[in-house]
Amino acid sequence: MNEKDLLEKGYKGIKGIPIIQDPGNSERNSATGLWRIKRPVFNGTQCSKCKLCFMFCPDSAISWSEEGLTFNMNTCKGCMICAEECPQKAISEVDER
Amino acid sequence: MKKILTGNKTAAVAAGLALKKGGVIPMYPITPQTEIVEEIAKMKADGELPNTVVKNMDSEFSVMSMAMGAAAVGARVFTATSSQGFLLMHELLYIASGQRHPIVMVNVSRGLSAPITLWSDHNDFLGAMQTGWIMMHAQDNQEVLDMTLMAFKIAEDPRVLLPVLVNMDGYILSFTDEIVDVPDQEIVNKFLGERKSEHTITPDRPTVVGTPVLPEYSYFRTQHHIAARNAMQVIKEVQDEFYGLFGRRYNLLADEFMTSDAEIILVTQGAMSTTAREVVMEMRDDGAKVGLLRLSLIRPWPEEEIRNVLCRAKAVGVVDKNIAPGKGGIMYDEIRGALYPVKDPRPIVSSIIAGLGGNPQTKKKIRAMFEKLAKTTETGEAIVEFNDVEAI
Repeated sequence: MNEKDLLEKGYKGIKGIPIIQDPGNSERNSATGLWRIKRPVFNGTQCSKCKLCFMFCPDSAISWSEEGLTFNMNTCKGCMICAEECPQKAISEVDER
Repeated sequence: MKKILTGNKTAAVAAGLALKKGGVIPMYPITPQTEIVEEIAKMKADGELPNTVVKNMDSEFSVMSMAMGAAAVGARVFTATSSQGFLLMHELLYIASGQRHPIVMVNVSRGLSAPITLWSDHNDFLGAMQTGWIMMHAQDNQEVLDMTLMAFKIAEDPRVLLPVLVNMDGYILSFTDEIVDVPDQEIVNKFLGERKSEHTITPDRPTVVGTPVLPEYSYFRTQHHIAARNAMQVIKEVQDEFYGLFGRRYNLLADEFMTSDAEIILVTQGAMSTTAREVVMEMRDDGAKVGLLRLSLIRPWPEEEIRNVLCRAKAVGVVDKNIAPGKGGIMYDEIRGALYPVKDPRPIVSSIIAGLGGNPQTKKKIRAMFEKLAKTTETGEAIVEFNDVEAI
């Protein structure tokens, strides 16, 4: 572990002091979506636009727009609460591996 | 200008001088330090600190939390505490040094409960040697002022960026009036200037202070250690600059007195050292070859400088005004360790536990220490002496 490795990861700032001064650093280095082993798949035709999935997601990984749902795969950890809560069973599960 | 001040008032005056242009003082009272808090509150109420935020907090834990928050946004921070309060903020001491905040804190040494006491003892701050703070120990009120002023300069140096502790003995210094030469505000401003930093949070430079890490921990902790070692060079430069501006010379790394040809050297720290120095002068008049090493810098540990002072003596006595129950004096092994690389003949290093809970160490008692150490040169055996009680 040396300074070159840390600079590659984006730890800019004063040498040897544990600070981060470049915003957005966590997007590159803390993508918790890497922990996923199952992934949700959205079936647009079944969706009744109740937005329950959007409200229940513990990671706020679901966004709502006119076109339907989008899942932010950077932070979705594959807990499948959205699939569990959907009254229309419009979200299905797929193995990530 | 020379004034008659107690140790506590001196600490408050030093804080007022250093933070005159601006700063933050979070504080909480505890005997024997309460006078510092009272004096700072009085200075604030009298309008002497218009640019300084002075805040009474609800506990010492809050004091250190606020100190870290203020330091994180670039303020110069001072606070003071003692024994139990110092222990209450123990968790935060590591965080303050790990996050590299240049906080200056005066600790007024008091024995730890239980059993509960008010008098002076060094167990409180020596128990925190591992926290990553820079630690200095004052022997009289003038040093309390000078060390506190130097502490800001050392802490804020970009090669260091670590919090600094200045220790003084409770009651013996904190409530005792001594003559203190208080410098003019202009010279202090010239010495300290204003705090500048590149790693603090400002509106146009958002910063995460103290990030979570996993394998990177060892890198940051090692850099922390390197910065603490760098402090020794910075301390040498700061004490030279201090001499140039204020006229008082310090040798903080190894404050030795008459040790160059001494056969018996006593190692002390704190207020006891001034008494010990007088005993050395008296015994020298009687022809005894004695000397004194006063530990004024505890962290970083100036091992090489200490070794160079002690290596030629026949007997060394380490006076510990502290005790690690189950082991013995805390500084005893530090000194023995410093002397380990010396080739034979090595000095015989003995331990003297004296002054626990503030038991006064008179000239007579210190002279007795030298006499016991003289006997060790005849027997060749190191001793462990309890100066205030009869060991079983």
